[in-house]
Amino acid sequence: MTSPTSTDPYAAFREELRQFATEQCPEELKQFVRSNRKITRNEYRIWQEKLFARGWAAPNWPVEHGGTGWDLQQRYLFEEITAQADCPPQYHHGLGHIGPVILHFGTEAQKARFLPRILDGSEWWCQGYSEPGAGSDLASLKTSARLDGDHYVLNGQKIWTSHAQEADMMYTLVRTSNEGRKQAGISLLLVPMNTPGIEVRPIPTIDHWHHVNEVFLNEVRVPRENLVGAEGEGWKCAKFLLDRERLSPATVPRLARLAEQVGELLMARRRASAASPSFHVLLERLYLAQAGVKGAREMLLSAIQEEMQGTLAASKSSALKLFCSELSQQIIGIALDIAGPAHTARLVASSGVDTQQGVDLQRELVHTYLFYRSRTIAGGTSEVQKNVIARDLFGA
Amino acid sequence: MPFHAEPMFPGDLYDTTLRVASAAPAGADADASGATWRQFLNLGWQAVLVAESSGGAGATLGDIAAMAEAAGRHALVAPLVERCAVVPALLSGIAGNPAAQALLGDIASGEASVCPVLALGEPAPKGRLQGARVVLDGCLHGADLTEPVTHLLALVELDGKKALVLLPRAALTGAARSYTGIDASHITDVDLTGLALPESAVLLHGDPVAPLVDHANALGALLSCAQMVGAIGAMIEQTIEYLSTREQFGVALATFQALRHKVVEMYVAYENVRGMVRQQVCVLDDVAPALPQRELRRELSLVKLYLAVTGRQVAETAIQLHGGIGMSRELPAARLAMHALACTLRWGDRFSQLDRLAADAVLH
Repeated sequence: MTSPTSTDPYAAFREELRQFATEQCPEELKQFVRSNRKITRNEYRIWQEKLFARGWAAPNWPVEHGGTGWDLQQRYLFEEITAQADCPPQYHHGLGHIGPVILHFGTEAQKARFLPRILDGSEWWCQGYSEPGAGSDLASLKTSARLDGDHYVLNGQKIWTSHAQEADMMYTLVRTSNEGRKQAGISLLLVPMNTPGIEVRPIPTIDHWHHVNEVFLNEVRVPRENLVGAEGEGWKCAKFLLDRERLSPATVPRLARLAEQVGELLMARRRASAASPSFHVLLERLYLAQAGVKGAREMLLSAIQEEMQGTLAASKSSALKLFCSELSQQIIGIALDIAGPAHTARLVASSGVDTQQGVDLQRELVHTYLFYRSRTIAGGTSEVQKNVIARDLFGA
Repeated sequence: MPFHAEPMFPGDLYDTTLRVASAAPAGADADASGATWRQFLNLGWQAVLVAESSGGAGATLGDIAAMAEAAGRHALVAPLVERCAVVPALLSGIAGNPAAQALLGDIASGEASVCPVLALGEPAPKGRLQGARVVLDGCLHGADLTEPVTHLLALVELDGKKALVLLPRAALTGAARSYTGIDASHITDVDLTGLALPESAVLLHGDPVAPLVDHANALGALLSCAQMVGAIGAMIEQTIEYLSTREQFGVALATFQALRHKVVEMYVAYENVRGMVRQQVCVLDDVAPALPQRELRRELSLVKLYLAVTGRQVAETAIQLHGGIGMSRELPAARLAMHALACTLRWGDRFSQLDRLAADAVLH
């Protein structure tokens, strides 16, 4: 009988990763990750520079473009070991999203201009997809791009643009035509964020983190050479990106680490006050979450095998996304109940800086709880995932 | 193409079990399934987990899990887990006892068939040693006497310590009450008061009993999970089939989003538990000796806890999605639901797993 655990051809690779994660990730950075504070460009950058120096800047890119050339199994191990060691995740908009699209559809000039700066972390990207009237139904987007000489002139509004406040570049889907199917008139443009006419306004969100923004585009002139692929191929580029990135090897390891942290918090609570009935309620939820992580890990590993063999069904990757996003909410929900009224009532200090308590893990977990409501919304809502899966299950 | 469940451990044992289980009488005729069990004996399935040195096949946990999953797809109530896995595990653990080893050989050859009665969640009968005899007292709860059975291997409180006592079927002459359970399985409670057996009937007594019984229960728990994976997979297939065929308001039920989403939830749960159970079986087969026992036992309890909650949810959803017909014992999906429900409760239910895990967490 074959089994996933009988041999480990990756033993040496694991050891190499473990050593790197232990030695190369600065302790302050690990503490930052452990604190569950919102990771900003600064933390991402420090880690990206370390990875770049080691030649591991892009685990998902081919070697000839500065990637590692790792297979999905190796990428999973990288994610598992770095998550376990509290290294920051990698910033995904450049490496995971627009990078592979430029690699596949971009001109030589675009590759030379953009890829090196994604690798070394010197240029930061955000994604201008959603609009006030186009969320899950993205193809309804209206932001217009009209050609004017060597430039496209953009007018419209993007919304839910995460990291726009710290980004140098935005890859954005715009409407270059109103003819034919609505998908056909969409193009992909790369927009420098310092172009006149761009205004970024933070959206105050329930988590009290500055994560998402509105991006207003008013007569924004973008050089024509920043068009990726042909005009009207934007939808194709976006689909390519979705297909390539449908399996995220990072999700499960980060969930596993979060479940561990929440478990430690629960045990600390029990030491502080005797085991009350509520402790056992939380304990069962924790165990169910831990078991869920165990199952999710197996789902991911088998999906990785199937993806490597080219047999992965859309329903499986959607099932994984659906399950992991809901599981992350269950885990962080336990943290919210442990944090309780004291921390939820003191989420933000009025002075801006709470000198008395410094960085408080439980308070950060309350932020995280609130932020994680978006897990079942962003990247395809749970309801959309269910529609996708149902089509596969019912064969119609 | 509509959903079809893929087996965790495909192979001959899976296929053969599936064939036998699909031909087994079900529902109102389940009583007559003695024939199915004799087929099991003829196929040598009691020998699967018995070591080759004792005349068995010395197969892996993956092999017996394959059988359990296949049996689960047809809600087979025959005591596969009890007699092909739990009893061989118990007897193999009593290495120093020649009677136990001889019985193991008889089990492998099919001459003997032994029903375990391990007092899970029920009181164990009591006993005392008197001269060269063991005298029993109290009720033996939950014996499965439906299929041809030669012996019962019972957990007994003997002079204040746990013991495993072998009772010949013929010796059970006390007052008995029989019951049918939620999944058409049968059990009997038998009064043992006054029953006296030779001392040799005590196969194991004292400290080694508890860990051995715990090990056997753990095996039962894992295989009950494999049965559930089989049952859940089949339940989803049948629910999809029903929703795609049945029409209401002039359209197939399968067109209603509310119903489709419920099926998706069943499916996602299935993918998750299938991966979880498969991994746990592989770990036990491959690397178990290298891992700390406490950690292994903990992982197993996590899996059973999770399956106990999930198996019940899926079973309830399957009944709900079938509407009125879901209440019929004649409906295969309803039988699968009852089987899954019974499996959630056997070999350590949700709360016994939680108690064990919580005790472990508080101790360490």
